Amino acid sequence: MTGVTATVGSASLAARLSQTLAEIRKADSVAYLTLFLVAVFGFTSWYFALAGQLALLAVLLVPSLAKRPALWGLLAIVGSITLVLERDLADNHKYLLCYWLWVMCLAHIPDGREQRDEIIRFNARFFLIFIFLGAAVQKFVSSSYMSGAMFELELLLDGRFQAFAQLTGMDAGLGVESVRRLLLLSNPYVQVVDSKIMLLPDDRVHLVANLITLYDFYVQVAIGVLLLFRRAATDIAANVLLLFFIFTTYIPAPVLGFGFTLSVLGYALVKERSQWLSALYLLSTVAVLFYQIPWRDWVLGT
Amino acid sequence: MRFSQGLERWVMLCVIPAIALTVSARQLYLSVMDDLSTWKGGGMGMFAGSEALTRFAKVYLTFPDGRRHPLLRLTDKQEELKAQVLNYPSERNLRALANSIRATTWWASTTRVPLNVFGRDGQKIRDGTEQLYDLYAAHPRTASEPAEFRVEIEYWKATYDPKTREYIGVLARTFKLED
Repeated sequence: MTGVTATVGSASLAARLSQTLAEIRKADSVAYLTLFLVAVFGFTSWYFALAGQLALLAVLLVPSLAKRPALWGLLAIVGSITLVLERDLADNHKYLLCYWLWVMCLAHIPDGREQRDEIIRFNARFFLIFIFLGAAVQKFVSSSYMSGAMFELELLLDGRFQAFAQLTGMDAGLGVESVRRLLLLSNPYVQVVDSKIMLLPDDRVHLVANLITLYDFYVQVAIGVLLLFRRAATDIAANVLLLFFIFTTYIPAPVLGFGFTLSVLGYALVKERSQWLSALYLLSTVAVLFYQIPWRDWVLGT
Repeated sequence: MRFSQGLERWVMLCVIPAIALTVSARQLYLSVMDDLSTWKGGGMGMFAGSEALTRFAKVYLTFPDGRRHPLLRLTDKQEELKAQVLNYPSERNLRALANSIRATTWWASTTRVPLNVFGRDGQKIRDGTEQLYDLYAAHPRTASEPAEFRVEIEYWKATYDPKTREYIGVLARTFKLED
């Protein structure tokens, strides 16, 4: 009797979850997710933060405002002003946020839902290809990426990767001594012979750096290329890889706003087409938020 | 009519991608020609290069009698300007940092710091013969305090070879703010 009840209960829970997911997909969930992105991971300038918070408040009170191009246009204009003022110093993913706000503005101009969804899907696909193939090209032509030097330096010298490096078994002392030598070289009160220092990566650092380099490069190439084909099978493969990328990369990578943006783009691409991929993208937004927990401090004991 | 609708549809679909591609091409150009960081400016080169770890700047004040003193302790605002220089060492950014330093009155410490010599293993080889004052930012310079110094900013780039484990700094450019 208990077994039957449990089965019925779990079937009912699954049905309710499925129903909830269907309702989320039917709603303007891409717009809501974008607004959340703006409010939580937007530009840090006071005027953009204020505009984002006011927009969020307005949509919470009057949800239909999320369909108004004026709302998105206002956010896009404020974001663009910020970008123009900081054009050479803004992080790349801030540009991406600004483009996406303009996409949301344009998409909400036509009356028909079909045309709106087409603009959102087309641009989501374009920007995913642009991000991943653009990154792959820059990495391929970079003087320090393909040799593994870039990630070796990150593991040794970048404090943000210190906890991850320790988890992979790197001796913390190697990083500390490498940073000390780097500080000597950049200190104008010190002369370093021939302006040359030796860093202290061991074989493990070298191996981990090379593995991350290979993973990062080839997964990005694969996602970008697969999305180019616009076929069901290649799209599923690309989305699975993209989800894998989001779930794994943003644990150590300290650019969570970019991870959240990828989740929104991925969700926008599959929303109308796949229930389970939509669910996984929504889950990935939650995962990215959880990656903010201070796990680095726990690892480092600070 | 149909042509116009089709055109409108394609404009709506492609206008933002076209802007993104243009900005990205500009970023690539500035990155190659003017050392703009791959992390900045609207390309998609995050984690493509390690500019933050392979660029540094050394700032000096030079005096009419030939003395040249380094500045290590910049103000918070000047540290921000220095970070901008390292991300994009353009004439404009270098000049902004130099102007800010020139607009500050600097005080010297009472003791002097020897310019010690270190080897590539980070160990001191010998004490330096030259001794320099440690300089501190005092306050914004007023009109009644003429700047009796010029500002020099050295922009350094480093390369790292994972095989030899050598990290080598090279002076890429010296910017001098003249009178």
